[in-house]
Amino acid sequence: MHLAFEWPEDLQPPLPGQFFTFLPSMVDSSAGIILRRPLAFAGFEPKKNTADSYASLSAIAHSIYQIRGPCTKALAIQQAGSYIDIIASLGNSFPYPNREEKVIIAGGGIGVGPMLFLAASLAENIAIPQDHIENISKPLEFSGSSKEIKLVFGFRSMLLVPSFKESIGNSPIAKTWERLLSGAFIATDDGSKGFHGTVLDALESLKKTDKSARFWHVYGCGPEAMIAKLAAFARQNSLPAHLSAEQWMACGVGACQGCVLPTRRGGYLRVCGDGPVFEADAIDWEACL
Amino acid sequence: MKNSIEDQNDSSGSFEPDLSIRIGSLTMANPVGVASGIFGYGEEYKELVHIDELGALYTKTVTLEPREGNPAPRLVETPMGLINSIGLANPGLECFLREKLPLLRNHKCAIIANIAGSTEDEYAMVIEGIEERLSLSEPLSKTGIDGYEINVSCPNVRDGGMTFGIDPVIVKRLTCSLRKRTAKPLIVKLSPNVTDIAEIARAAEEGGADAVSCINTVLGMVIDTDRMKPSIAKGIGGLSGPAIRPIGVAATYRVSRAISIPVIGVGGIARASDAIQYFLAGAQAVQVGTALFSNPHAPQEILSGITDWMKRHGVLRVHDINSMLK
Repeated sequence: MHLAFEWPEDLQPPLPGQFFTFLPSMVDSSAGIILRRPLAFAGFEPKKNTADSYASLSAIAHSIYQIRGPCTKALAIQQAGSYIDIIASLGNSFPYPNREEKVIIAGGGIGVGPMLFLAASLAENIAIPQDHIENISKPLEFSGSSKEIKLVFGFRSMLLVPSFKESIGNSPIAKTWERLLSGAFIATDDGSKGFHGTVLDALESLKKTDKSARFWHVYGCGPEAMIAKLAAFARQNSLPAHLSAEQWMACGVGACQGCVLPTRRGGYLRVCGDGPVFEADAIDWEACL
Repeated sequence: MKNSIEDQNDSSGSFEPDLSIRIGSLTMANPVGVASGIFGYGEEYKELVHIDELGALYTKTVTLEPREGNPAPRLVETPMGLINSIGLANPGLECFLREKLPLLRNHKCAIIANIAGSTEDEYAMVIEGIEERLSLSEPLSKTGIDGYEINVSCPNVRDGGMTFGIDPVIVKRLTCSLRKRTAKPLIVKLSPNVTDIAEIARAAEEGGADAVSCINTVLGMVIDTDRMKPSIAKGIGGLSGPAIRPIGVAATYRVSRAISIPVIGVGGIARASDAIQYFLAGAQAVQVGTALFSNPHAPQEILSGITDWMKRHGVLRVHDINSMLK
């Protein structure tokens, strides 16, 4: 599902990796929901000034989500133009890669949302060779400058690969997402589309054929098990990696210490206040499973 | 009519109620505070909340040594409630004095330091540490730490916390010992997880407390039936939110009739009418906790709702509401 909302002019634009919380006031009160729900940003369109100087299109923030419980269910049936109570932008963001690094963007399931945002944001700063956009059978590689971006997205089956054409038509963000998705290396657990296997299997396979694999900088977001494996993969191959974590949250702003994850050095870090993006080595991901 | 102010103001309802309340020697500008553990030490929420407009900010618990807190996951939502087991995660007294206290001083509302310890001595050492620092730096500062809330009711730690708060002998002895170490208001935060909460409240009063907070979280547990294990790592945690409001109101009703020091109502307050229930039950002030998470503006909205209610009912002072229960 896709959520887009108008962004106030006086607020800094969100960065890839950051999230917001929404008040699920649309949920039937009999569900007894009392907490806000966090969602990651999946894209941002800055304000556009149209030819008519009196009209301008507001900035729009985007998120994609899966219907999992009463809140996302209620959100999904909201009318376009509804009011939504949001606190943003929260958390840290993905750091930019170093000049010599080759960017690997790994997304699993609905975790592709923030990774599409990261890819779009990095691609904006990198010349995109046309042949890669046309040739959708190859992984998307932006080799205009010294950087390359490879997207590797995994889903349980092809039915879960998001399709934005139907839901949001020909909007610029849908085009961006579709373009990124079509250029991504897709893996499905059941082999119904693309590579048969997990994101990790796909990465192992790509690593064998990529001579510059030692320059990889891995960025990832997805289910806990995938993140744990990504961290192990990065460690085994001595690659820098930044992974986005998920945890139940109460305050979302760093105050309540509720959404912590255990660190490898002992102690805990807050997903909302210290993350949600962590250096792969910082967190004891195995202990989170 | 006892509570009428018609003889002091015109009857058009244009009077302004006096929202200030007194806890021991301390006057709070209004009766709505933010409960301990919700706001940290005030930094994280400062962009979202006008902290200066609060009656009081009750800090996250401070202990002598830093505490990492309990394993994750620490939270699970339940119908109209939240179970937490944070385990008093905090940076410890030294860091509190060095990094948090200077920032807390900037706020204009009353600052109440919530303190805990594994032993009775540790409680005393935390208060002594704060008192010493306050006397050294800016002794005439109006803000800083204006009082202490003694956490003898945390259900999520093995030593101290609730193990102290369920025993009236320990509560009295501890309060007595802390009373000797500070002239500032001492507020004992009561646990609802006892047979007779009024007995514990009496022990706090006898020990020299200036007020009691009523109540801390209620023991609760959620089990994930797919994984067949508890939803939070520690199994049992503390339930908060509207689910416990009737428990808090009943406890306030009983406690306020057992002691003569003020009762500060806590538990499931999300709207002005919730706070007014606590006032009618006998509370002189309230703390907003879990409701802040969904609505950071809750304290201001509650305060303005209380003001409207007082105007509508011709009530001049908050404590006058105590005697209005029919």
